[in-house]
Amino acid sequence: MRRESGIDYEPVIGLEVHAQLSTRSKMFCGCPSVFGAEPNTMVCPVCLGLPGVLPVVNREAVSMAVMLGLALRCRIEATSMFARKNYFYPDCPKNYQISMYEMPLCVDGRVDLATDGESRHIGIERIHLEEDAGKLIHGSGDSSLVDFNRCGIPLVEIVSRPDIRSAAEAAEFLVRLRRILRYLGICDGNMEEGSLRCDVNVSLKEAGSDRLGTKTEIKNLNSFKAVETGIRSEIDRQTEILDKGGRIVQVTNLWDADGKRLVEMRSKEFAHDYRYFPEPDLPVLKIERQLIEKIKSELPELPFDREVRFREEYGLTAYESGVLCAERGVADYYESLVRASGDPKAGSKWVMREVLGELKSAGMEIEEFPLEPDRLAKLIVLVLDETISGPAGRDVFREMVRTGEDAEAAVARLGLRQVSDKGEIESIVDVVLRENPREVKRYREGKTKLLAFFVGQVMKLSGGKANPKVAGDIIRSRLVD
Amino acid sequence: MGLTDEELGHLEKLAKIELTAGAREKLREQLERIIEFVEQLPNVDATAYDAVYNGNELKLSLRPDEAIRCLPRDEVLAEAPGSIDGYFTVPAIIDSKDG
Amino acid sequence: MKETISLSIKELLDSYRKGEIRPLEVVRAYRERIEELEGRIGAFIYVSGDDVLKDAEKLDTVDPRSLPLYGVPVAVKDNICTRGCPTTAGSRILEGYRAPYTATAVKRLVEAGAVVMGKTNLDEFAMGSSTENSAFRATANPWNLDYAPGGSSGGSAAAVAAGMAPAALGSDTGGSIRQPASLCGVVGMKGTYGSVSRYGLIAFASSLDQIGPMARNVTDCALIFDVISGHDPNDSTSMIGYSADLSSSGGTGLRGLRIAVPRAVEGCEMSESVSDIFRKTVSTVEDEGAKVGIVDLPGLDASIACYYILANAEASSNLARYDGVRYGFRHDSDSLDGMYEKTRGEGFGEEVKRRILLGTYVLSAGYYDAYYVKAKKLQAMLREAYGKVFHEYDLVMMPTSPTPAFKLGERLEDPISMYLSDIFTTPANIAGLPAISLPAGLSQERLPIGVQLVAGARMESKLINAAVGLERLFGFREKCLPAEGEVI
Repeated sequence: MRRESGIDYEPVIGLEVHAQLSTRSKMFCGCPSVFGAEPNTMVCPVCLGLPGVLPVVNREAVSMAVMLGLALRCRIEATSMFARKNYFYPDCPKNYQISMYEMPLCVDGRVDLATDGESRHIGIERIHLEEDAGKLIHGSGDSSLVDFNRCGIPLVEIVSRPDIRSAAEAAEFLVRLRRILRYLGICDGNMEEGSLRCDVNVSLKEAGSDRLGTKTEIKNLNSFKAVETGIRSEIDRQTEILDKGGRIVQVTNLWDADGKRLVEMRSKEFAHDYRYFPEPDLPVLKIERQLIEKIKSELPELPFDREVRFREEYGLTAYESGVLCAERGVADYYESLVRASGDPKAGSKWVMREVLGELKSAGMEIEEFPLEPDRLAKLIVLVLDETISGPAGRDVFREMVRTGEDAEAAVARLGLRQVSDKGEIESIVDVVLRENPREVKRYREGKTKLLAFFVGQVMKLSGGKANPKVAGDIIRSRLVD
Repeated sequence: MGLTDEELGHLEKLAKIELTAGAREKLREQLERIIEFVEQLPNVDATAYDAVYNGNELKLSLRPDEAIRCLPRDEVLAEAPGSIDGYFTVPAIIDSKDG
Repeated sequence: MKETISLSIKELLDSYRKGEIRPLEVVRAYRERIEELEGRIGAFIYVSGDDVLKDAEKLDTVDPRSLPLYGVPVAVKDNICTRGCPTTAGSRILEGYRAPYTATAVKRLVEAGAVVMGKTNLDEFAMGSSTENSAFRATANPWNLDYAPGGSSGGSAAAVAAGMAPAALGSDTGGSIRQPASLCGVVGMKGTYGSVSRYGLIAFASSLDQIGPMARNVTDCALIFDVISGHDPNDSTSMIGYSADLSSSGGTGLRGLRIAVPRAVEGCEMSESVSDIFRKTVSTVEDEGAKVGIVDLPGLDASIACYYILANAEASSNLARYDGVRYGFRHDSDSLDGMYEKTRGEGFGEEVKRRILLGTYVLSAGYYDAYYVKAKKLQAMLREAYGKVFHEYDLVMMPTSPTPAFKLGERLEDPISMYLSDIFTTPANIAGLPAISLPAGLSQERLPIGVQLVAGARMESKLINAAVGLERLFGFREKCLPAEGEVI
């Protein structure tokens, strides 16, 4: 970060994340919470903000928020309060949003990072519940169109402390947060579809100084990549200004996904005055100790902890456990596989290469994967005990996925049973050596790499069924004479 | 404490109400007097303030997470001053949402 | 047999059960009355069409004993949503608006057998004390057509006073049921905050609003209150586990009751006739064996300021939804802000705009602590003070309104003088307590004057008991009504 001025600047970054909770109904009414329905077909008087309506809080949304608070090691407040955030906009039917302000639901948490082997954590200032707004679409010519289906869907807002120090760190924070949300099963974390949204605050301070710089805001970041690139752009922009002796002005920048750049928002006449006050239509929210204990006891193993356990229990590398724990479904699959096959290392290879590879090419989620861990385990055992070769195993895998048959059946059908019988292989080796005298001579003269050629010929003659290891051993011993 | 014309303008923007030129001055005066009137609030040392949010010791009851009723779309749009293809229409918005 | 429209609800139900009369006849009689008088009084914004006759006829197949309000005609204040007919809140911004749902309170009335006769006039968005702030018309006081009926539930009060319906629903935020009841010589009550569901009541001040009944006598009020009150899962501020059974209250009289009168009442400016009647009331109840004591209620004098800050702060937010986007009046414009500002500028009346701007002011940055928070603290203090009073006393008694009805147009120029008419009624809203106004006598000009009782939280039965006793003492209907039994 050193520039011509000789001053080092340190980025100070905070993230504000909104996650849509995957409840069945909306936050304050019984409308179905769905994505992609025909416009204005999932609304009722309450979420439409008709005269005379009142909000009623969704129990499951509260539980999910408490779950998240516990997973992020927050303190769950015994008393919290909904508040009105007042502003006019067409996607906000009451022209106020029911959110939380002075008394949020969860405070003082953290997200653990593990950047470059050195463990760090990012503080979570608060988590609170609020309702989503509708969707505004630009219509033809001089009108905009409003669809209220999304209006009222429950959101949690997660505010980090400004502990983040780089664009990469911000992206990692977001990845880990998303993983936790998915592990808990409370949000699908899809930035492109909008179930996970992220706004960023960036400021620079002089290295070694405590004085914070003016912070600017970045909005409309619609992917992890955008978050990282957008932050980097803003850091560069601010650095350039400061280097030239200029001042940072408090602005909001929008990320332009197409042009991949920051665009300054048209400045408003005045800053928003949201006139927050306690929501009079909702009494205070009291969370009992009992409920917290119950939710705590039902928390699934969290991703970071699971990664650590995988390394210790299964002897996996940091990289392997990172990949296997990225999605809860995959980690679950892996563990079932290990239980059934008894071999963590083999299981890891098979899941990382074959299963994940198959999922990627088919564009499938692990939940839809047709080959259950039990059945895959049987295949792995066949390879481990050398009933079939490794390459044959991969063929069988693909067949099992395609047809749904068991490993044994596929092996039989394709005739891939590896021949390991020494006698049988010896006869084939004899034929190969007899038919390739020139290569035999060259091998005996020192070209030991031709072993692979001989093994290949044995595989050809045996229709791929010979155990290549055994064949290799036999060839070697034959040619030593 | 008075209410200046500028302050009144600020309130108009916050409340999204356009006052006619003729009504403004009269309203400003009236508001000024009402503010004076309500200013006479005595100072109270009530520290048990948080108990007053809602002031009625009501308990917040939570609703089970069940998807139930929806309005049929024709009823949703029945009172709309402007609608097209199932959407509500408003004058075109140029800038993106803030807040 | 008494004339049909003079029957109290209790008497009406009796007649139905004896088979002496049918709902269709009753509804017709009231419709005739409305037709006869509505031109001069203007109590209604909307009078139900012929559908209401069909509703009445349908009741013929139902056993009168099975429904607590079988065949009882009611009028509904037009800030309460009713599917099937317009709900305007007395405002141009909702002119012609039809809600796709019905308020819980009205649903309960209809399920109990009541028949909705129409929607009554009100001060726009319930903001006012004379019903003159209605965008559509003013309502006249049946006792003297040059005078206002009070407000904001002036239409409901006038309808009942003029015999156009035996009962009506009003709403009370700072006295809007009790004050017009007092000015029109009828009974009006508001329950404990949370006793009646607000779902479907067009919100003015969420933490103060309550729907309540108005009728010609206390028992009729109690009958209505029993039906409309009780927890509603659609209203998170409605009390859980609350049920009223007030219609059986009323036998115990006033002997032994401990009644408190706030000291501050004496220092309040009020008409001579009001203080005369109130003083007479105090000695009458003492003669009956009640114990009357003077109490200091700290904060009572500041309660109006407190009320106007809290109510208007909430109102400024509650009325933000009227923006021309999804329903109601829209002033088209090229820009979004232009549409908002002109729609609201033209759609709202002067008083509403005043209050929205005041509410916006007290919530705005820099002023929130000085006004809103301060008012909340005062509210806490007042609640505590009232709570203490009810340890030693059963009821608080005071006048309902400092004056009898005032002339139409008299107070329009000075909003503050209008606000001061709420001085005795706002405390019960701020403290969330049940209160009732019943007619005690007439002024020199033959205008009604009411007396108010306030009880402790959830103590509606005590309230009704005492009110029935007081009603008997006043003998208002016997002494003050013209011989024919109806005012006009």
